[in-house]
Amino acid sequence: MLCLAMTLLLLAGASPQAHAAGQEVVLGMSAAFTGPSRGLGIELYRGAMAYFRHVNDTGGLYGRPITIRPMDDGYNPGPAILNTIQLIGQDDVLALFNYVGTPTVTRVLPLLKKFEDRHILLLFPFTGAEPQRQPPYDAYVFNLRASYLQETSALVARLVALGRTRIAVFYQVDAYGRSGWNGVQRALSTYGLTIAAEATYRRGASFADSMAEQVRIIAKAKPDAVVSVGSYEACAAFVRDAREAGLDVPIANISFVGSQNMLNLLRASCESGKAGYCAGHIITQVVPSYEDASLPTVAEYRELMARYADTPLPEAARQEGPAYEPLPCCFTSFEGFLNAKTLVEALRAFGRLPRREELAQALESFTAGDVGLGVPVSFGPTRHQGFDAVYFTTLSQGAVVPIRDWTEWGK
Amino acid sequence: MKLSALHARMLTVTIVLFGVVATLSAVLTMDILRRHLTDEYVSKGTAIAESIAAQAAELILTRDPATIQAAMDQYLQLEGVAFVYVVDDTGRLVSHTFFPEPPAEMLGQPGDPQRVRVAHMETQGTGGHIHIVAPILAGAAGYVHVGMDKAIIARHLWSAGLKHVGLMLVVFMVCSVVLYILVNRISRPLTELTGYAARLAAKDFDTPMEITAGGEVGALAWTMRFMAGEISGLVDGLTREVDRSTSDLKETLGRLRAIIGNMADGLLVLGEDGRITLANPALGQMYGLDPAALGGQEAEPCFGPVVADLANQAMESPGRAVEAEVPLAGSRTAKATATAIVDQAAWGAPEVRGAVILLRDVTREKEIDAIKTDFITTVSHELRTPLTSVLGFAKLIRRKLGQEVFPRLTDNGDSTMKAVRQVNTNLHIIAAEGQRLKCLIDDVLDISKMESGRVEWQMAPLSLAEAAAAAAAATRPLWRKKGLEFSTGVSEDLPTVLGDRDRILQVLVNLISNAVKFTPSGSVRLAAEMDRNRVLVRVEDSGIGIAAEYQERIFEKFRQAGDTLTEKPKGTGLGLAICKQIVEHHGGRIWVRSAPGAGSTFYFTLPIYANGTPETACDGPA
Repeated sequence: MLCLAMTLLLLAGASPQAHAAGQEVVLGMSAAFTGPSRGLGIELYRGAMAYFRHVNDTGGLYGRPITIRPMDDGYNPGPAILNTIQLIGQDDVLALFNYVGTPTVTRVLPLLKKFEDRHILLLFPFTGAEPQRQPPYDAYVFNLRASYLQETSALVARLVALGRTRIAVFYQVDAYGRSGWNGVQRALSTYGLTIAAEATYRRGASFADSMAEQVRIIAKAKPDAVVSVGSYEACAAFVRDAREAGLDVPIANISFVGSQNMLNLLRASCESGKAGYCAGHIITQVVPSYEDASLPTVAEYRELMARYADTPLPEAARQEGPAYEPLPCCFTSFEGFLNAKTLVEALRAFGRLPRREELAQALESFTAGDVGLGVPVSFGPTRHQGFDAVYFTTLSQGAVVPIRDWTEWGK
Repeated sequence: MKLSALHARMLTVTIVLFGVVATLSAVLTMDILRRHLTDEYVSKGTAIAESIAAQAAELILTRDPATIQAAMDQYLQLEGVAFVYVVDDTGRLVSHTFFPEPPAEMLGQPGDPQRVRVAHMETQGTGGHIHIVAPILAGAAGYVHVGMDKAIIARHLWSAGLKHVGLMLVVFMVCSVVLYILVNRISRPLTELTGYAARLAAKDFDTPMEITAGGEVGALAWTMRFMAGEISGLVDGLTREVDRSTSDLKETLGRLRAIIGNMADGLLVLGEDGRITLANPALGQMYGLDPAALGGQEAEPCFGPVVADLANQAMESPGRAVEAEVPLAGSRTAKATATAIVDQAAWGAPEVRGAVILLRDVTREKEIDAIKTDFITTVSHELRTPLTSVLGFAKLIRRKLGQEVFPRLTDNGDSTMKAVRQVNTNLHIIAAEGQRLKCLIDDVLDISKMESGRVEWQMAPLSLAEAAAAAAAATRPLWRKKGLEFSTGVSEDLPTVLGDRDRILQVLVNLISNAVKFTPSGSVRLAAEMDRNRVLVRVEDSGIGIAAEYQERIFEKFRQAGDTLTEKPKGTGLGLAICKQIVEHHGGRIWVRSAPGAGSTFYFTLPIYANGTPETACDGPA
């Protein structure tokens, strides 16, 4: 059945279709719109769609509307692969865009090589994992965000600088968690240190699950800090159980966690007197804080998010209950927004709408782009990652705010 | 619903059979499945381990554990894979799938650089796992460890086992239903047949039976119906036959009853216990009793001790008629003959069922006999006196003639001497015949005296040896004259008997004379010996013998063997009758055994004299 469907799609894709004027520019997006990580997929989609709708409302891209074709993979590799095959087979899809998650993206990568002759590119996946930044797949992928290695490296450097050398790792036992773990390990080894303790959880754990066992394992080693590499529900559960167990060292998360989503889970407890739940968080970000009004893009993002708050959720997300409450603003949707803006700016810089096979060339020629982040976004033939900055944020008074002063974080 | 015995048995057998088959096959299936699954898991785990090892070689060297993890994650989704981990050449964990942390007991499995190692680990609570270690670059880059969960094998086994048992149950139910229907098909006609057979047993041959079943049961039903018809016919025939026989029997019985009722002689039948079972009217008349009221009563109070004794004797010696004279009412006498009723069974010894006694009123005959005896006695007595005179004078004449007359006759011619010789001869004949006649008369008188009890018996202890010697001496002239051998065989230590010596001597002499008389040549022997508690005396000869038909008769008066009309009598014919009278008076018996041409042996018994009183005589052998 599946094979038949694939064959039909491939046959359909084989007939060349000219990009006629007025026809939509479509980007294929396979992401988690259901399950415990659905907040990431949905917010990423909403952020990107806010910008695309703005573009469409202001004359479109070279006069053509641009949109996203969302498909749900529930953060699982299997559906991600099927979705990808389907999307590649559809000729009107310009590129794959805004994929979410390490385990899904790393499994999709071989497909890009397989369908090399179709010149399909994966643009700005929401993951900092290494495989798509390393040969042989780096050729087919353009990243915007910094890698996990960069995030963890910056994080470890910061913690060591604060005198917190006994660093424990709590991570999701899959490729994503492993890449975070690997990043911490590598960063520590440059200081001659090793991981003080490690505990894992299975992908798919929710906030309701107990992380007491993992807390016990880590607390035993008496760490100075914990680096948490996981999804926001599990990480929030870990924070909750760690604070309950009296483990009050800083708990650091990396960008993938979805700070706002995690904050939302913990906020109820914070407000009901369990202040500890919301204290001691360090979250690295690969985009600036959406609270930083000094950046022009932030203003544009907030305005467009407010204007296009009515963007309908993808089909799969609408069907799954309980209904998802969209966030007005968050790092994830901001990243989605930036992804969309970077793509549009790059294509505009190219001077015309590229065909599939011209897309890599178009992006690679976007060497010093300004998307309003204060620093340039730069791609090149040997540089498929546009942005290297890592930002530190924390939870404070119900919001994710940048950390400007580290004096309180010392050991 | 109550199950029939057939159903219950079939059900039990089915359940037991299915239970055994289901259990055995489930165990077998589970065992096969367990081996297969284990093998499968080992090969699966090996394949995974080798596959990861192949991918990981380069990744370990480029220090990319996330990609190794991606590969591992992919396999972790396969069923049965419990964990995967990769260690580098220093034994450091590069990647693993454990949560919340790698358990210490699952690490530390050593690897073999040459080949894939498989170990079966039993861990508490988890059901254990199969631990497979594959080398990466011959162990130079590290090892891949794959754990296959044995608990899943167990789950599969149970699920397969349960499904198997479930299937067996379904098959069992279907089979039970089919069996039930089949058994019902057999059982229902059988039940009907049983009912039919019960009706036949109650002799109801008329109620018809509908035959619905086919096959063996149907054949049985047909056979039963046919058999019922046959039996019905047979029973009808038998009933008719029995009716006819019964009426025949009744008729015969009636005739017999009429015969018995009209018999002139009295008939008495006694049972084994001596009680009366039948008495005819004639008998009732003899005793002045009502024959109908006699049934079941003891014989002795009704008919006296003689009849009772007679019946007992008859029953003790079956096959022989026992006779006795029995006093009747009104000073009459009957002669009773008793015989045992012998039931000659088809096998085994004949059994005595009682006795039949026939009584004939002989009062008249006895009277005539007495008159006859009196007459003979009187006649004899009247003859004896003149005969004595005749004999005495004849002898006197012969002596006188011989002494006085004949010597004086001169021999003057043949005629005188001839006349003298003739007179002499005639006188001898007169004396001899007179003597014989006298003997006869003496004997007749003797026997009449004995019969009328007028003899005086000189009873005294007596030695038989002495009596035998005396008898031998007395008879010597007789056997000497005929040249016969004579011998006696009487042991000296024989006990004494009580008897009249002269009379016993008379018996012995009589028997020896008889023997000599009928033995032309050969020997005569007199012997006596103890026989139980009596003395048995016998006189044997090698003479002409006696024909069977005369053996009883010769002890009667005036009876001799042979035809008395055509043959010349050789004695008075009273000798043996007198012997009989004497022996019987002594409480003994006398009898003979003989065959023509083979000699004769006469026996008689005498009771032993002990403590001065003679013992009651026992009957001798028949």
